[in-house]
Amino acid sequence: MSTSSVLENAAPLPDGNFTHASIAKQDTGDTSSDWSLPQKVGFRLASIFFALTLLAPLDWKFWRELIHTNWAHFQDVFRLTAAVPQYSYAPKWGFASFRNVCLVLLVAAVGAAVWSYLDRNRRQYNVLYYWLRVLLRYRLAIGLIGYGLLQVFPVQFPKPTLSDLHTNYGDYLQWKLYYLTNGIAHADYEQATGLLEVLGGALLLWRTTATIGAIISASLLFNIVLANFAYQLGDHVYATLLLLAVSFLLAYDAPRLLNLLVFQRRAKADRFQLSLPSRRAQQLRLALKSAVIVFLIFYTASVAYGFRHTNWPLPDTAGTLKDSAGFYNVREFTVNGRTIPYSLTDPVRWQNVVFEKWNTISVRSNRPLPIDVANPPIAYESDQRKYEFAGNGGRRFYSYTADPASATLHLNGENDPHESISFQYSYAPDGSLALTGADESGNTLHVVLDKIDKQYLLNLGRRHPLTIY
Amino acid sequence: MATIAVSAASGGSQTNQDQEATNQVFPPWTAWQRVFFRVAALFVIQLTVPFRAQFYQRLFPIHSLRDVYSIAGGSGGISYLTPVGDSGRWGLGSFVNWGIALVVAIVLGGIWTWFARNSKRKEYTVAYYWLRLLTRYWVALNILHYAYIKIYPSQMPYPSISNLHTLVGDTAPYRYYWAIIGLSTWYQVLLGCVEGVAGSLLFFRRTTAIGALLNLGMLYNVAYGNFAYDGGVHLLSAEISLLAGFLLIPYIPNLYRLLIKKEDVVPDYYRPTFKLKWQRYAFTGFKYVAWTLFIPLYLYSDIHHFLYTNQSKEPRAPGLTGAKGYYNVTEFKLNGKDVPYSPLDPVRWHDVVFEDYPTLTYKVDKALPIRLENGGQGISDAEKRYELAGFAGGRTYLHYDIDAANQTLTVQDKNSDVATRDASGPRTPTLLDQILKRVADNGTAPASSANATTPGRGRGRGGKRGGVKKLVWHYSRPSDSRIILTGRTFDNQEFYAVLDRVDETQAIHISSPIQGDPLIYGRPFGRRYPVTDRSFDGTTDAPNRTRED
Repeated sequence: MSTSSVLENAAPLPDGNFTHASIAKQDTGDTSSDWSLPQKVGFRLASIFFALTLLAPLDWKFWRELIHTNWAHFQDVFRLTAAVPQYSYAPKWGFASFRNVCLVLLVAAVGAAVWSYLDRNRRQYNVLYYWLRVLLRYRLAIGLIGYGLLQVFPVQFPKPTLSDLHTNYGDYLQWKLYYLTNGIAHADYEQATGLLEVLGGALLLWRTTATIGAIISASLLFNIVLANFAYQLGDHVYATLLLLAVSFLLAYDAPRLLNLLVFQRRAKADRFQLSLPSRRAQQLRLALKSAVIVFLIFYTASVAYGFRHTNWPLPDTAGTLKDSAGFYNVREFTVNGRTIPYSLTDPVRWQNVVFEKWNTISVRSNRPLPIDVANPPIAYESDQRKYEFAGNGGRRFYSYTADPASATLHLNGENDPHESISFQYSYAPDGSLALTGADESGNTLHVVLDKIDKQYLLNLGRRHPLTIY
Repeated sequence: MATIAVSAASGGSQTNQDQEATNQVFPPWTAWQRVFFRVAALFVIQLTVPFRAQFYQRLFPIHSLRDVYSIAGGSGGISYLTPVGDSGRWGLGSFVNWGIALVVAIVLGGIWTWFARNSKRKEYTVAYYWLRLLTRYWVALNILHYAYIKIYPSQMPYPSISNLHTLVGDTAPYRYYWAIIGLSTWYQVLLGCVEGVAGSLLFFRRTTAIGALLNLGMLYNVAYGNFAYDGGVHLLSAEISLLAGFLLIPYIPNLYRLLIKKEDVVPDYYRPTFKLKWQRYAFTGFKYVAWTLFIPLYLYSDIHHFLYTNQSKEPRAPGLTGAKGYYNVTEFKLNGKDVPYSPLDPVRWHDVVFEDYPTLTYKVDKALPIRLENGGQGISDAEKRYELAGFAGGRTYLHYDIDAANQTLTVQDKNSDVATRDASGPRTPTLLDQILKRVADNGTAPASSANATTPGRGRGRGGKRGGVKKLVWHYSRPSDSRIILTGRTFDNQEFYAVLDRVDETQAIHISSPIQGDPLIYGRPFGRRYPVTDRSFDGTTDAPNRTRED
């Protein structure tokens, strides 16, 4: 954007404030608003770095995902808001997970060097700096609102399931404990935190409130980054990038805030005024801004709808064995004709069983369990709804189908997809449920279940004296 | 109420260089600003200035630096009423004292305004400065204590082995709130450092705004978290948060003009100027003493205290050597008769846990009175009940004393005082309680609060109890992983138990989980606070130490 074309097409801005004057100042050789060399090089580096790490449309995989998005499912829309370009494969954990970021940093360094040579007579980048800040503000707003709404409609941290209530605290991976801890909070804590995140993001969309939005977002993101590293939540790269972006935004306002609050001397306000070359450009800017806001409103509606009408992240399919939901003690257990008495250490015997309200059963036994360790990606499909058993190292999960007509119960392993057990079930006069059948290896099983009523301290709380088991 | 760069006394000029006895002229405030100041000043004073008698009772027997810190902070304010009921203990009702203080402030402020209606004073700039100084120091003192116990770290210990074997459904919500931070040492220390910075910044005029903002954010989160998890310590954190917000008020108009209206601002905040040299030196000296006392010395004192005394939330003495772990009860005989394991059995032990420290727990299917206190810091290991507060699941927690020569363990139930205490615990007598008590006693006996604990610092009370029932059990260790215990149970039956340690690695110790790769188990938890030999004896330390936390 050369200065001469701007001069020719300069249109007066609504409040009569021209940038004409400041550009004319440069032409006369006034160097008071020039940038220093470190500032210019730093800006070149930062702009290439942020453009390459945060602009998802640079990655062809983003377009493929966009084409395959199911707009009725908020999970797909969410993945669009959280998309970052992945130039090469990076593992999920460890230093190597920052591989892409380091790669981009290298490219940015080289690019900045080339740019510095080509543009060596350039005096300042005020306008480009403004656009970089716009990019960062909008990307942050979309990212923060994307995650924030998943807490405002509390789907990101659901309440613990009955299987969770019957798993030992130490049998979870730390990320799952973090999720559970957030999920059990009362007093709308999750919703309020999400609202704060959404507010921080929304304030970033307008220049007037951008600094306040940046301060709120920075404090939230700082905590999010720390939690990601402390509990291995899985999003540390993305959260770090957002934190870098918000820090860059705050750096623009830091001198004036420090002058005002700490050094207590004259603080200069942000006087930059954007001048767009034509009316068309102004309309385009307005159209793009409105498009972002409309998209965010649509996303809010879709999350609200998904929260109201689905059980996500838990399965939607209701349990087909009527009134079976509850906790059962395994009174009798016979495998291949051999009855095994109660035992905490037997590698085969089932100790207790939980039937959920949806089509999931979980079994506690001392059998070595292939734990699903990863935090599952946010996806709608029922075969992707691994949240209820991911991170749980204490119980073995099965999805089940029951056919009351033929009194059959069929279990499909979730932790181990090869597992499948077919049972014939019957209710004894005393109310216990007897299951007889065989698993995929041909072992015959006979299991008798007694439903147990249990009170949970987690639900009863600590406000009144309690004597419970 | 920040002044704008128009007045004569401002413009960045260093008027404290002026030795002339000029009366500084400050820009006038509006009538409403004056009224708000009066009400705010009265309200803040009611919340922070020590009014309670026990503060002064503890002021005189100061023997050491530590005593200075234990009385500073947290004992300020008047408490008018003891809130009752669920909302009063756990919810918004607990702020009833604030409500009363606000009403009192408004009434007294109104009276003051009436008396001052013809006064020539049009601003309270100087008084506002001193009010803010009081507030800043009060907030800093309170937050620094919590910062230092996180840095040590002792505020949130790792979950114990018994806790890791307690079901999620048997864990009270407030235990989650602390356990999640206790899981990550560096996170806790980092939070402590941030809190420490936030508190320290309040000692200096220039960094007050940043310190206040940090405090507001962090303690708002803590206060809300206490509501969300019923942590019970929402009052102090809400108070710090509110006062930090109060400290931010002068900066808001300037921030609004700078950021929203986009005007250049030259801030001018009042700094005290003293006419006499000695006053200046005294004030500067006071400030240096204050921040030296409360930042580095306080940190040193707290860490020294934790290193050399037994005070902590977790017991400190070493447990039975090499016995730590989770044990299956392979054999159990009651009165000579063998009893097989059943998860429904209310007498036969299901499993046993030996902790790193002298606690041993066993589980049965029986309804037990649940300990619902916060479980604060204790002095003798037997009274450290943090590990069992807020857990159900039929576990009995026993403190044991080892007699290695005779191979016996003397066990006592850590929950034995359940009959004499309830979940909320007795509180310090409030103002009204004291007045009413005086009236009721007809002035015969002075209302003494000598047996009250420090309010607002967690509850670590064991309560008064008669002799605790102790049993002597005999142990033998035929191998590394087997322990045989014999003795009499608390129901006075003979028992014989064979315990075999289960070789397990729980999922909580998995580090760097990569789906598809072999799992890497990190080091299992153990006590990781630094200790010296003296703090390992598990018994009371210096006799004149007051109980806190």
